[in-house]
Amino acid sequence: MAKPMFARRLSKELKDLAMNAPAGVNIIDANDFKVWKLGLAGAPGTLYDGEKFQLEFNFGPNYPLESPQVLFVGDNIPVHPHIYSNGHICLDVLYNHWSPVQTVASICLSLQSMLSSCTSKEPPPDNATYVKTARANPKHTAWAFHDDTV
Amino acid sequence: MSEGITDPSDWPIEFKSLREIDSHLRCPICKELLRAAVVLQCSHNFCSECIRRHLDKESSCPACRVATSTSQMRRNVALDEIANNFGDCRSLLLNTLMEAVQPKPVVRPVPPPQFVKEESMDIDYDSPQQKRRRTSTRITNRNVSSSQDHTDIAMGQVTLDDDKDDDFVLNHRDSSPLRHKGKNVHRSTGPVLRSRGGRAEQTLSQSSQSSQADERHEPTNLTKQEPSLPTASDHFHNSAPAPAEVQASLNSSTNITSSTITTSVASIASSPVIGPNLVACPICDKGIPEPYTNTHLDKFCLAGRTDPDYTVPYSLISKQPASVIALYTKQGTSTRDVVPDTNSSLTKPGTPGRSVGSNSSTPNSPARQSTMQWQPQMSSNGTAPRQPMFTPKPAAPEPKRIPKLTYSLLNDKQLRKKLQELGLQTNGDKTLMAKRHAEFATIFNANCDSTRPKPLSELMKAMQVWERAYEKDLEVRETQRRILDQQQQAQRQIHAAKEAKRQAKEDAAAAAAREAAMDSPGATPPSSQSSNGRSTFVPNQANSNAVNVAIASASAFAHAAKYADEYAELIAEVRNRLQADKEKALANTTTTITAEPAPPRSAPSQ
Ligand SMILES: [Zn+2]
Ligand SMILES: [Zn+2]
Repeated sequence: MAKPMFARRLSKELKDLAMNAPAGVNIIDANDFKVWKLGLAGAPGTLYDGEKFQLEFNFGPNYPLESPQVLFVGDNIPVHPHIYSNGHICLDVLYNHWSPVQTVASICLSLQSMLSSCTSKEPPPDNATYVKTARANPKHTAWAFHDDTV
Repeated sequence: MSEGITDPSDWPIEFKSLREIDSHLRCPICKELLRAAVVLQCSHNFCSECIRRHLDKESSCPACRVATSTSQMRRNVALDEIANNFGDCRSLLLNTLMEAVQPKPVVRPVPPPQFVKEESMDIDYDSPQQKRRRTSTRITNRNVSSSQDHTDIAMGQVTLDDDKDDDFVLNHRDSSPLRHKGKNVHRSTGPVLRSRGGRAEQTLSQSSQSSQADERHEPTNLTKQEPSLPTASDHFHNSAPAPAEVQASLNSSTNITSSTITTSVASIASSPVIGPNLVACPICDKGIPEPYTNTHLDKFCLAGRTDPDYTVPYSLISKQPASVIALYTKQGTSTRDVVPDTNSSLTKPGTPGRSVGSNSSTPNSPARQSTMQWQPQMSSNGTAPRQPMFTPKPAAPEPKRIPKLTYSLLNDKQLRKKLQELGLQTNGDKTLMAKRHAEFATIFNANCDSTRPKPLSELMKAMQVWERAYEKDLEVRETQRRILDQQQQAQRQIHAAKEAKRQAKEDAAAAAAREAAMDSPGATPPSSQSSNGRSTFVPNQANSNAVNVAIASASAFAHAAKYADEYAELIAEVRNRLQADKEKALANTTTTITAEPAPPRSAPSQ
C-alpha cells in the first residue's frame, strides 16, 4: 500500500533534519509521523543564548496542506512577547499564513529568528488571561497577529 | 532510500548540479518528482494534484503567495516530460555514478542471464493492479527506453514497422523479426553495463534497480511512452502467459560499449478474449464483454450475485464524452484517435468498474505507440528510420476537465445525478457526495494534466481507497466526539456532585448552628460561611442532644436526597462529626469549640 503523502513527505523531512538540521535544532523524538519533539537552542549572542527549549510538532493526515500543531513544551518555555507560558506561539505562519511549501525545518528557522530578534524577555501582555482560557490546541485559538517586529 | 523515498541529497556531493536538477524537478508541496507538472502565473511549478488541493483551500501560490486560481494554471508539458524521464533513469544514473565515484577494484563476474520474476520488478507500494499494468507494457517500449536510459543504446535494431499502426519490429541478431503484440512481457535480465575499462562492472538487473527505485518510475520506463498506457489487465485476467517466448538481444553500440538485453515475450495469440465488444447485460445492464456474457450470467446475474468485475452500467459507458471513453479504452492513442464509439474498442475490463475495456490491441490491431517519441531516438544512432523523421500529427484534443460545482446550489438529487454521470458511488449524505465529487474532480483533472495519464480504472480504484479512508475518518471522528461528550458529561456530574456536597455541608452546618442557637438562646447568631466546599461554624455554646442531631442530619439528608446514595457517606460523616462535636460540647460546656465539618474530599468519581 502506498504510503500516504504526509508520511512520505515527513520521511524526507526527517532524513533532511537528520542530515543537515538548521543550527541549534536537533531531533529529540520522531518515532512516528504524528508527533515529533525537537530541541531548539537559543542562538549565540541573543537573549536566549545558552537556553534550550523543546518544541512539539503534531501532524495531521492533511499535512502539509494543513499546518502542523506546533508548541513549546517542557520545563523551559521561552519568555517572549509572542510565546505564552503554556507554550502556545503567536506566529502567523503556524496558522493562517501557513503554506504547504513550509517544512519542519523552516518553522524552526522562523522560531529561531523570532527568538533572536527579541529585545526584551517579557511574556505577552495578555498571558494570564490567555493561558487560563486557551484550548490545548493552539490552532483553535483565534489569533490576531499584531506586529511583525518582535 | 527505503520505500522509494528519494530526495536530492541522494546524489553524491560531487554532482552538485544533479542535486540542483533533482530539487528543481520536485514539487514544493509533496517533495516528490513532479507529477503532471503545472505552472502558475508566478512561474512556480507544482504537481497538478498538489496545487489543486491547495487551491481548494486558498487562492494563492504556496511559494510566493501571489493570488491565483486553477483557471490560471497551465500544463508544463516539457517539464513534466523531463521530470518523468528523470525519474525513469534516476536510480540507474545514481547507481552508475556511485560506482564511478567509489571505484571498486573488484571485478564482479557478470551473472548469467537470470529470470527475474515480474513481481520483483515492481515495488511494494504498487497495487497489484498497477503491477499488472506496468508489467504488461509493450516490450518494445520497455526495452528501448530502458536501454536508452541506461546506456544510450543504439536504437538501430529497433525499427518501426511501417504499417500505420506504428507497430514495432525488434530485430534479433539473427534478424528474424519479432512483431510485438503489446502483451505480456517478461524481462529476464537487465542490461549489463560495463564501464569503459571493464573495471567496474555493474549488473543492473531489474530487481536491483527496483530496490532503489523511485516510486513512480521504476522499474525503468514501464510507463514511459506518452500517453498510451496499454491497460492490458484484460490479458492478465484472461490468459496465462502464452508459451511463445522469444529472446531478443539488443546489441548496442553506445558510449558505454555494450549492453545486453534479454527479453522474453509472451504472445497474446492464445488469449481467449480478443478485442471483445462490450454489451449490456440483459439483467444487470452492466457493460460486459460479449464472449463473457454466458459466464457472467451463470456465475453472477442468474445466481443473484453481483459481478465484481463489471460494475459500470453499459448505458453509462456509452454516454461518456469522448474524452472519458478514451480513458475507458486505451489511454492516449494520443497522436491519433480518441475512439468515440464505445463498442469498437472496449475490451474486457480488468477489474470492477475500473478498466472497463482497456487495451485495444489485438493481434490485428497492435498496440499503438506515439511515433513522436520514437523517431528522434532512431535518428540518434544514425539508422535510417523507415518513416519520416518527424511526422507532425494533430495534437490530441485536451480531455475535458470536470468543472467545479458549487455544491451549496445543488440539491441532493442533482448532486447524485452528477455523480452518476461520472460513474461514481451515489450513497451517503450531501456532504459525502460533495466531497466525493470534489475528490474525483481533483484527481481526474490532475490526471488530464499529466503527460502519462493513468487509465480511468486507476482513478476509480483511488476513489475506492478514498471511500474507505473517508469512512474510517468518520468513525474516528464519531468516536472522538463520543469520548468528548462523555468527558463533558462526567465533568458536569463532578461539578454537580461538588455542588451537592457543598450544599449538604452548609445545610448541616446551618442546622447545627440553629440547634446550637436554640440550645443557648443568649448566644450570638451563628456565623456560617462557606468557602470552597469548606464550611466552618462556631457555636459559641454547644449543648446539644440527640434530637438536634437528628434534625441536623435529617435536614442534610433531605437536601442531599436527590443525589442519592453516593452522598450517603458524606452525610454520615457530617453527622458523625456533629455528633462528636456535641459530645465534646457536653463534656466541656464552657469552652468554645471550633468544629470543622467534613474535610474537603474529592467528589465521587462516578
Ligand atoms: Zn506534488
Ligand atoms: Zn508563486
